[in-house]
Amino acid sequence: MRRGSGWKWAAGALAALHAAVLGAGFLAPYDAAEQHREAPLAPPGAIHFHGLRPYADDPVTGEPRELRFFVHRRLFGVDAPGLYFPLGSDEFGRDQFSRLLYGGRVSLGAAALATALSIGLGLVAGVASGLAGGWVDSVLMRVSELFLALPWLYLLLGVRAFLPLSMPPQRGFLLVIALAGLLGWARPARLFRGLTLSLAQAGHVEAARGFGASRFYLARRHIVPEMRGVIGTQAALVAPQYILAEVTLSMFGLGINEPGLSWGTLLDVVRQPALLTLDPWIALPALMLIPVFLLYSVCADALGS
Amino acid sequence: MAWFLARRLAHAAALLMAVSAGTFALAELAPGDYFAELRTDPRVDAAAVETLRARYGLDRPPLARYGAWMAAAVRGDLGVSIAYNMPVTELLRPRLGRTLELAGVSWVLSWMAALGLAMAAAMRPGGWVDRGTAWLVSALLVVPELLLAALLVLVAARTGVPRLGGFSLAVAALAPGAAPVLLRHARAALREAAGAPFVEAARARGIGGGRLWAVYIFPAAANPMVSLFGLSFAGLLSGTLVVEAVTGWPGVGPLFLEAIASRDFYVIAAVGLVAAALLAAGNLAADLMLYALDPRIRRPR
Repeated sequence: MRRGSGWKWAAGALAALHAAVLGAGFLAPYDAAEQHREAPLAPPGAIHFHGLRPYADDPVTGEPRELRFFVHRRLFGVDAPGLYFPLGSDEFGRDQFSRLLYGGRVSLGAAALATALSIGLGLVAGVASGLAGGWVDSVLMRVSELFLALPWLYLLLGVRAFLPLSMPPQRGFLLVIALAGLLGWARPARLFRGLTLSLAQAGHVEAARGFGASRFYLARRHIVPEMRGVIGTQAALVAPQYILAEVTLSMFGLGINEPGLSWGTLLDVVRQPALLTLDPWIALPALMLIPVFLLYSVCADALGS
Repeated sequence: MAWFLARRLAHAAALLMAVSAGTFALAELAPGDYFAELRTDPRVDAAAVETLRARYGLDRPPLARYGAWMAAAVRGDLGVSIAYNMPVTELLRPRLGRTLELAGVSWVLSWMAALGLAMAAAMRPGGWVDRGTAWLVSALLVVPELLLAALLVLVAARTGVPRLGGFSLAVAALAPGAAPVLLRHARAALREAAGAPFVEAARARGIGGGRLWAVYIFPAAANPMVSLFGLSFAGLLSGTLVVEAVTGWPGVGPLFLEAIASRDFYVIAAVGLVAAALLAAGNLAADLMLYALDPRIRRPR
């Protein structure tokens, strides 16, 4: 898959995934908060065919219900008294598949915004540091060392420790973005600084400087455009890290809390072994992380080579 | 050597000072402390809360507290846990021991696996071991420790072997998470060294087997791998936090989470300091090994 078209597939699949969580209102058979108390902890609905028509077993009565497409402004679903949970349901009878999609909005959205924030900050700091040199450079680099002095999760949780403990979901969303975005700038910044230093020695940059180009012009016209590939690679590398940061924070009750919904709150079940043992399918959404990370990893590899 | 060591040590010490100063500054900006909840309780006298705060020194100005804490920390006293009502050092020591045990064993195992596989892969570039290793790296990279730990807990619970104990479970979740990065770098480094002209020359002189690896290939490939030392340990420390919380291994991780939930300030500050110190120690060890192994660094500036 080195130079092949594999990464195009991966990038396309990532784009499709983001589109899917944005289109959750259409793709998900139920609303994320819709409860069906008569069917708590139902296993994933099995599908079988009579002729060409798909039927799903009702989790309450066990009768087969016809699975219909493009009904009630949703992609698929069964008619009203019946229920169909593609990935099962949680304790309140909420559809896990729908929750996975709606939760992805928050998790992928937070990760994307945090990625943009930290890469943007890293780029500004790194290029400024590399072009300015002198005390600006030393101050910025000393500060970045401070951010790298703690293992990532300890830094994340350590800073989180001093913010209000419980907060409404919207603020939790902003909190995750701010924490991951503001704490993650140091490593990209150091990378971008090194690149800036080597790019600034190129002949055409020297020439532009000789003609009296300002540092800002150099950065905008010569340095940053040449780093596009590296910026893409860095983004693909840190995005999964930030998805995981949201999951970790929310799982420990320090990010997005109920009634908010994200992959972190959905994965909360991995800390409840009893529930997990009785109804292991409840952890199915967790496996979603693996293909998502795989796609990001393929993109990063392809952009890096 | 002594000069180099002194400079690195001073650097690490300055970094630790800055980290703890940052912790205190953040705590000062943060709303509330351990007794914040108590203050909203109408049954508790406001004066009593103030007395309690005074007992733990929370009423003193921040700079004085920081100075006192720092002076004590140098002597190995990291303050008092308000939640446990005992010295943080006493509270932290057994838990730190368990975390280091977990991280250390996982670290050794992942390095052994990575080096073994990387050697096997470097012996025959393009062979099935080499290709299999590449796949293994990609596969392990995309499974976070968090999921692996949850999966192992699930399997242990379903198959009824939870008596296997938290430790092996935690190691099994942690080591595969650390291995792929090591494996990737070790594979690249060994492959490059094994293909170098001087190795070819040594082979032509009839040197082979263990001697070739120990004397020719490993020293040449050591530099990038040693640089990974500190970095890999930092990654493992992050991993232990999650793995401990999921598998229930009573290390520093659960204590840290508990302290965050209860705003047990000195515990948070101490854990932060210890984590930074471990990371600094890992980096220092890597620097010293590089200094010993690579003559290019020894040249005085």
